[in-house]
Amino acid sequence: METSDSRVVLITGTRKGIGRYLVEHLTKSGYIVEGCSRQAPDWTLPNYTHHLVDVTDEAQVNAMIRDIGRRRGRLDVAINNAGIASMNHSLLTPVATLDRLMATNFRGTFLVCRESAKLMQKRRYGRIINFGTVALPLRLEGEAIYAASKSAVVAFTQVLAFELGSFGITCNVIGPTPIDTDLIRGIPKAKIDEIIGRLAVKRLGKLEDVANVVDFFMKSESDFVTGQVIYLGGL
Amino acid sequence: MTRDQCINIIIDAYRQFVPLERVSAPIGAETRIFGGDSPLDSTALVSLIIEVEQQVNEAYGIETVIADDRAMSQAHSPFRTIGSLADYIETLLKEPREG
Repeated sequence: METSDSRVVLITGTRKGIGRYLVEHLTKSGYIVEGCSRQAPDWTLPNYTHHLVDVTDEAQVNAMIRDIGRRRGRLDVAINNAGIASMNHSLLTPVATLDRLMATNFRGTFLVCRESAKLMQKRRYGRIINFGTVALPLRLEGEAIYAASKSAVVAFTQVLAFELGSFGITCNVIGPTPIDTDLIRGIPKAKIDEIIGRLAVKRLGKLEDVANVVDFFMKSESDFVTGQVIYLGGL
Repeated sequence: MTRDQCINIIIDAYRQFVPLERVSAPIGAETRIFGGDSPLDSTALVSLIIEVEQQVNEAYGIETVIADDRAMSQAHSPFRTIGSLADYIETLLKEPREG
């Protein structure tokens, strides 16, 4: 087992969108990045290793993080970006949709947090960054199940912050506004405009906005910042 | 895995997480790891269980979870001493596995 001098970051859901952008951003910043998605990406980058992993599958998550431990000897940061959304009135939502959203958004986040923290605690250092949503504080109609799954992520992260504080591991949540990614592609423009109208800063989010908050949570100087939720857009 | 092998894995983990100056007697099956005069705080206890779990799983190529609901709800905690934890792991390893 080798221990790298460079900090090692794990990002889930890296095939496209925010995940892919964070891989580009963090490899450029000198990090060694490990990432995963269910399907293979159509791109590669230096200092990036991709794992074909479904984050809802416990054995696959365990194997991926064990592999990172063996090859890198450390894990400094875990970013739980993998997520799915679904928009529908609650009364019309099939329970299968609920199961799917809870599995990817909450179960996946839990599994990656649990296994990452096991590796991080060996060095008494770690940064866990989970993803929430503005749909929660905005009480967005049509997003009840999605917001509930992310609410579970927030509650879990805030308690986890206490459980992992003595291990030198911080746990925080970023809550992005709508950003021009596949996640919002199916949402009507009028709905997006309505959401933007309720923000303090009235514009779509940018990938750079997410990276900025991720950078802040990742800083070694942010060791006194934990259990927090930072929403973009001023919520 | 024999009970002695289990005990050796737990002793190795114990040595990692308990500073030498806090070990007052020879480390063995009767050594307290939880409650009583155990020198392990809750953080060190979690680290010890993770380490033992990983060592057992690597030795066996399995995915055993030591601190499951059953372990946490037993009237006599399997985490009392190195010996009681070794006994519990032995029981887990003897159980039939899925797949």
